[in-house]
Amino acid sequence: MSAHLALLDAVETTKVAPTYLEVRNLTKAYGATLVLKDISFSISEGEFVCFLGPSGCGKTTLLMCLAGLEHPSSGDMIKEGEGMNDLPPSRRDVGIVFQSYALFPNLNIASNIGFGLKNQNRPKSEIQSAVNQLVTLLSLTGHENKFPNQLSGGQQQRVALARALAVSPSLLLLDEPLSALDAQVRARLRSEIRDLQKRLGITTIMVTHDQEEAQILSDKIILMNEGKIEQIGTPWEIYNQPRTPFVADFIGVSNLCSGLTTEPDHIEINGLDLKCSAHGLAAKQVIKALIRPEDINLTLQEPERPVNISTAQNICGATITKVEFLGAIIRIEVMLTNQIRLKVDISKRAFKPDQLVTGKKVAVAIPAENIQLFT
Amino acid sequence: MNRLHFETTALTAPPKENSDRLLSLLLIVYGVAALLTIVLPVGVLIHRSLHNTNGIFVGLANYSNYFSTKTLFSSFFNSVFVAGMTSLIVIPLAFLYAYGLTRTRMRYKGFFRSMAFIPLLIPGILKAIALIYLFGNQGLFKEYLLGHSIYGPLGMITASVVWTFPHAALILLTAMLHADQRLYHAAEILFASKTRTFLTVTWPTCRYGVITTFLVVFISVFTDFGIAKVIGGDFNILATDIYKEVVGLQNFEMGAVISVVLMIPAIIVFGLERMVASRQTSQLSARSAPYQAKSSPGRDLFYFIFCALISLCILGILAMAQYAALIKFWPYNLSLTLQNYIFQIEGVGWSNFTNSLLLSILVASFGAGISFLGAYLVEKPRHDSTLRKALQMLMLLPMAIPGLVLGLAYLIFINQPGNPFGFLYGGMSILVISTVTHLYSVPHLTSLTALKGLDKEIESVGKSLKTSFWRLFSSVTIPVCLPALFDIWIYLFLRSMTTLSAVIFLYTSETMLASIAVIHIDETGRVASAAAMAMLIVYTCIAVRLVHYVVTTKVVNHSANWR
Repeated sequence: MSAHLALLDAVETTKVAPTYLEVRNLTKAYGATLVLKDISFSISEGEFVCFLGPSGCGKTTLLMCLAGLEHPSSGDMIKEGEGMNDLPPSRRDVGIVFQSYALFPNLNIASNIGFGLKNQNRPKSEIQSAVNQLVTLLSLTGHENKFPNQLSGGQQQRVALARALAVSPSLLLLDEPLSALDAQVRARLRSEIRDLQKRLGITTIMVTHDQEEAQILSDKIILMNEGKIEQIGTPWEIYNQPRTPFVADFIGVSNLCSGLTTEPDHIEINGLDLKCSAHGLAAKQVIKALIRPEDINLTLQEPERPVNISTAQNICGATITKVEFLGAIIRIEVMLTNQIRLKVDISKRAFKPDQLVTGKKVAVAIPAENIQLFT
Repeated sequence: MNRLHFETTALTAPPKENSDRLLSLLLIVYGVAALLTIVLPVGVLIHRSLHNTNGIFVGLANYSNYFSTKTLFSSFFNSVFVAGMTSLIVIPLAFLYAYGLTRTRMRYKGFFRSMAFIPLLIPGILKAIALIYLFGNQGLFKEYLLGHSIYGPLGMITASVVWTFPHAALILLTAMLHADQRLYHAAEILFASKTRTFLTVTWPTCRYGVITTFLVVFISVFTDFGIAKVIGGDFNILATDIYKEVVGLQNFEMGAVISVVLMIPAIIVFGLERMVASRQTSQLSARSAPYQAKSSPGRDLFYFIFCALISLCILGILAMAQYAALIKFWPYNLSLTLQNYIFQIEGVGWSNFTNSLLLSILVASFGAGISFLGAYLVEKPRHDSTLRKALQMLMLLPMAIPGLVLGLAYLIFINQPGNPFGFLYGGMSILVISTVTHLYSVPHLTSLTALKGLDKEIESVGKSLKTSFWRLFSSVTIPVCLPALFDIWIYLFLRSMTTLSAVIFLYTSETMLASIAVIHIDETGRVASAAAMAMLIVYTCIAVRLVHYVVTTKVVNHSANWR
């Protein structure tokens, strides 16, 4: 019946896909307020892309522009080489799934899924078999004759997904589809969505404010803040090479300390001299240093050799101020001798519950290559 | 893809589908209709009030003439007095009644609840007639009035209290229905006295309800015509003055002046009511626990007796009206007869009743459809937001315009020389149009509430599924809103059966309605026949209400599996 279901059996290929969707210099203003500022990016066919950012950053507005439910104030949207700015939603060939599910309350699950196909006047048997396939695909078997309010939130969202997929859109737009669900359902549906997307090879854009969700799902993250794109990259790039302090702070847990450059490969933070990679900056320049908690090494101080501030290997004496047990990792907050607070993550295996307690003197080592600077 | 093109479309709404264009077109049609049915007629009425009988502009001369004529101007205070007294009496009664129904463990709550709404099925004039039989010059209980006459403020206020009771009870019931048990528990744990609990927990939740009730009751009585016409005697109020000026003296200019005087307080009260409504946010959250009254036999007995007395009064008035319609010649020959239903009076007959039936069916059917589509146009599209806001205001406007004023405005508007709609005069269609317009706001608000119950993204989903507007509308929107549509239908039907003010200036002998016929028969002095005609209205209302009940339960049962 449809291209994407036929693709189910196709072998996944990893060739470089051509640009599928391109957005150029898009802006959107409501009156004098700019909610989208000069947005440009491109997406390859079959990619899973997340618009990630705090609430109010414009990510949903951007998605609505792509869906045709909002009109950009200026800029171009080009899909497969054709401009689509002035195409109404029904001619954009997109499927949309909303946070609220927006299922038709008076139609049963099968009718909800088949709703779009029925509009296209397909034969009944074809609609039936397409619905059956989707019901199986999204593990909704046995619920066909139920009504939306008889299903759980996770099931309702799967119906919404099936309904959007039924008409074989070439682009799937998901507007915070998992936000209304509780944590466990969210985790399960998250991996289901990713599996399904990979099997169908359908280009997908999802809006989310949950960085963990974005990192797990995406091929590419477009991180936004205050109507601007902060960074575009793979989850790995975004985490390991954040381009701005905002990105560093928004993604993962981070220690961001203000300091000054001293030598070409040294900085100073509150009296603590740290070696870092060559930064190419002039001396005495104000910088922010990012140190991820998991990159810091923590050892117990030996009482006979107290550590104060040592430049060798960026080691510094510290006192434990807080210990948080998070399951697989333990997050320890320490106060350095220069009064700087740092978060340090250590694995459960390395954790010594009877020794690493509040008040204990420890030594922290910060590897020079793991210090990232922002000006 | 050229840049120039995007600059021209900058800041516009999203690209339009064909269905969006259709909705925009419909929106314009509604806008024009609203102009023709409300704005222009009222404008022409105000225009007329500034001219003399020869059509020469005289500025505010008519108004200064009005305010300096003491006999005319005193009616204003009479209207305020009657409306104010009615509010003062009906609010405590309705408050206690609603309190008994929601906050006690009194028995037979279901029965008392339906009793409260019986007056809705009875035309106001019939209540007045019943009061005349009970307390009139030859009434059963005349001596209990201690020499006071029922004709005048006393009768008007009493009849108005009965007439407005269900409206007041309904608003207060809704306000009191949802109480949060947790707040009462908290008050109890903090050792609050009963008075303090009432003042700090109960009162804040129904405060707005009481204010709204006051405004609604006041303005209903302030602008009402029928009751005053039948039982007002020599006690003049604004509404009867308009009627006298227009029908009696053919003085349209003075009629227009009094109409404006009547309309201004109505618009002010309407504005206040809207303000209160917008502040009334639900204090109920998903975590609230429903209120459960504690056991208190003394309190329950008190409310039982109170509600029983009120119900008895309501039933008594209905029974008296029925008795009046069946009596041969009050009070001299009390034998029963059906003679009064034959209406041997010139120009009056069963055709008035069939006219009413036809009008009510037309108003209910067209009104429900038109108001629902109108509410959809205001609520759902993403385009034309300025036009939609303007239309929303226009659709609430009829609430602020008294029926009598609207009727007179239509009369003047349609008889303007050269008005292309002049042909409508004298037909049934003008009665349908004026009644639909007069009653438009409540169905509009009901439709809006129903439409807000649907996810706002439904339309967007429909578009992405390449669904036509009509298909989504007919297969999802209408089925989901069907109960609301039924409610609107019955509301319009019942109100049209008893309506008087919006049509009193617009009927002809062929299109005379039952409610108008009651006034005419009453004027000839054959009150029994007037009661009989009014009872025809009551029978119809009860029958249609029962049919509505059966149909809705069936529909609700049928759709229960998804609700």
